[in-house]
Amino acid sequence: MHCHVAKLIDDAVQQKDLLVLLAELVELHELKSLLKEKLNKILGHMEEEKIRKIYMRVSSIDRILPNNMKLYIMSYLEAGSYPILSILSRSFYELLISSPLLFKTFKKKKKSQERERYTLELSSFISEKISKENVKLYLQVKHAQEIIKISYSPTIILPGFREISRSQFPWNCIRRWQLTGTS
Amino acid sequence: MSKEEKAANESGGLDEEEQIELQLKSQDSISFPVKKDIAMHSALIKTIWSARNRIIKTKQKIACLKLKFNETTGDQTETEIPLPNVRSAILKRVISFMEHHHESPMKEIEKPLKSSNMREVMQVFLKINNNNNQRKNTSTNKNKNTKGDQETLFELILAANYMDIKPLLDLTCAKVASMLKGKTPEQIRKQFNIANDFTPEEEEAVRAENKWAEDS
Repeated sequence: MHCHVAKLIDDAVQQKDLLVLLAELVELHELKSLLKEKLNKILGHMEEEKIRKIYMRVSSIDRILPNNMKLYIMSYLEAGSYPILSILSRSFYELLISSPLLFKTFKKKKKSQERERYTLELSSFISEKISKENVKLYLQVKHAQEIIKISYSPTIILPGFREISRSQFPWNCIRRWQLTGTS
Repeated sequence: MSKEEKAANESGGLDEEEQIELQLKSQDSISFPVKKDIAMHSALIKTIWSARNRIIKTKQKIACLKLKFNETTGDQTETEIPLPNVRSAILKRVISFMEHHHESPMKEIEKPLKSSNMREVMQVFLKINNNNNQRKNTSTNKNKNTKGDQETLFELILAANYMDIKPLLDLTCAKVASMLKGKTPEQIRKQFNIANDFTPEEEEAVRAENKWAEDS
């Protein structure tokens, strides 16, 4: 048995061939001290290039790029991608829920919309409906600078309102919230 | 005419200025000669250069007043621009981009990213990457290169941000955006080494929060 394991070590051609044996033979604290020793040796030799490579290879995009850069990257994506990005990690979630920068692209595209201001009104809700899961919300826009109604049912379209898809709506233009729903 | 341009013209005339070759000095102390008009695509270099010109001009005025003009004329040959945050390997690519952009200015990349303008982004990106990277793209080192390219891409973003080169920042950020586009959260986490630090309950809550946003 010993010979076979020794042979596995000798026959290894890639680092990954030894990973299983490493996990079996070396304790976590031993491995940690081994890696720290190796890192200190690299530092001692002033091999900055090697450390930079390791850092870039093992670090997350979160650590490498500052938030403003991540937001700028996201500004190239469609609004539909944001829900996916928000479940990547806590930092992505926090970044996405706290930044109005993501929407500036809409402003650039349609100059006429820049002056528009919307008020968002959440109304016409019935408490039993809200308590149910998977209630889909529908947008009804009356007029720019006027009121958008969000309701749970697509059938109730109030006079003077028009239906609009969520992705078409310039969410960045909302400046005032008005909650008139009951619970 | 802006104040900077005026200052630049006053300190030597436009033709003379255009012929100046700046020495861009990287973090690892390697200097790259770059024509001034190409280097000016970086707002950082532009600022450094015009500030330096203003200082030279002021020194010249002082020297003229003191009748010691010859003592300060040496400053006019100061063409070295230190860029301590950019490695030589990255600076080479940045210069390559500036040269390419100077010859054929890149169109603004549309937001949100469309696959049609992504083709153009890829072409420019490959051009600046390949100009400096003469490796053979064999199947055996393809994965390694892909990871290496990603590292280079991040360093280019940081360099473009530091040197304030908007077209390069647009190009590189659009490239990363294209790598995110259409991927599942798991694929993105794997590609960009992102650790999922949500508890299962938190993740479920965030997913539920996002559900309302799904198109019907």
